[in-house]
Amino acid sequence: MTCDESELLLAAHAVGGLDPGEEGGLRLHLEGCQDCRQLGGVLLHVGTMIAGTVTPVTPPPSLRRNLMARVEAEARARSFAAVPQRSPRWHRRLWSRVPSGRRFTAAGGLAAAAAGLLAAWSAAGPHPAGAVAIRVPTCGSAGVPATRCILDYDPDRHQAVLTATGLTLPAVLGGASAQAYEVWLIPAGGAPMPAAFLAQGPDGGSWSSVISRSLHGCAAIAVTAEPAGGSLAPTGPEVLRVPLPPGI
Amino acid sequence: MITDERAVELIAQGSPEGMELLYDRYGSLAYAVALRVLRDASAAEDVVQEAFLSIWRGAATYRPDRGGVRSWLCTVVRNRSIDRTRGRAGRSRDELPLEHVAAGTSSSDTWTEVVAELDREHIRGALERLPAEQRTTIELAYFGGCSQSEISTRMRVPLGTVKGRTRLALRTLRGVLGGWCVEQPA
Repeated sequence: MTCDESELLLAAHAVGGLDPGEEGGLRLHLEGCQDCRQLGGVLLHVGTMIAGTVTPVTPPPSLRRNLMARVEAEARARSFAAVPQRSPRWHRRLWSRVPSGRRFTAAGGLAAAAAGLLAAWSAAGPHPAGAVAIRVPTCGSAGVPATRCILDYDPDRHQAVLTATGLTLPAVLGGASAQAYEVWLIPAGGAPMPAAFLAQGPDGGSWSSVISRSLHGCAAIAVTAEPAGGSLAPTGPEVLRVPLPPGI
Repeated sequence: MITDERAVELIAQGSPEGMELLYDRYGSLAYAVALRVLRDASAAEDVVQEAFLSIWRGAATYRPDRGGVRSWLCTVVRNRSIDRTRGRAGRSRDELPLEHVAAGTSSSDTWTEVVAELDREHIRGALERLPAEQRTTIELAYFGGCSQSEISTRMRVPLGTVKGRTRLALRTLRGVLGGWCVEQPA
């Protein structure tokens, strides 16, 4: 390939119009031609400036709101994930040793009794600093039975991360940008309180949200599909409900 | 004033404020680019959000020696918009140039930004003054996502003519920059 032919292809590349079949030959030429590499950089610079010549158009406010909601949710999830999880209290470890899916053995029964006693003892006093994170796995819901979710809650930091899979917002509601998943705290005997939005993860299959407040006194966390921007009270179908353990 | 590069550094550190700053500065331009390619407001919103999120997640990969933040962002938005029109998912085309081409500009201070803004004005004017067939060729490639073969078919002219028009147009646009970016250290 001559430098003249190379310039033709570099110009095409600079505006994104290079035919795929011509890329290999151009690469080969560039490997051995400093002048063309330099020219390629200049033309590319010119090409990228073409986009900047478009007259700006003010986007709808919902774009910024939705974008920043997702950015902030991911930022909080990152910082929460960076906090090292402490090992469970020993009475929880004991509880976890109860054989699952089988009848209680005598040992399991004793372990359960011990765990119960210790939990009651623990609940009687204030939580020590750095209390263990609480994990509440949940599956299924009235609206979307295939949904799975996990709630991680740190009572000391008053921070919870809700991660769900199996939600089908675009398929159910016909457009991700028109609707949002809103998270609600359901106090025992009270009206639902808006808490956060679920943000779709980079894999596209999971949704997560950070709830930065105490869950004390809450009976459940629910998620509903709401118009983008959210609602003051639930108006859409409930897609997820996480019952919270008493005394959380 | 926080420079674009500093905003990207903040984003790479996980700061939503950096993202807010970048969006407030270039959200309108990014939306305009997406709208120009897609001609659909809803699709443009989706693409701009995806583009900014990809920058939020990949800010650490930004290389100032490849060009300014504004150009980088516009390129990401433009490429994702083109992919969307072609029904391709994810990043299927290079968002970075051929690895062998040299960097066009590497400076990032305020003065350089001012010069770059003047260059954009010159290029905008030069684009408008290009002969119609050259301008159409450039626009079909850049905003229409057409390859040169596709442009040749669409405009019913030989492939060599398309290549020649593209080169002439780029030479003209390069000329309005007065060789400024050529003299910048890589």
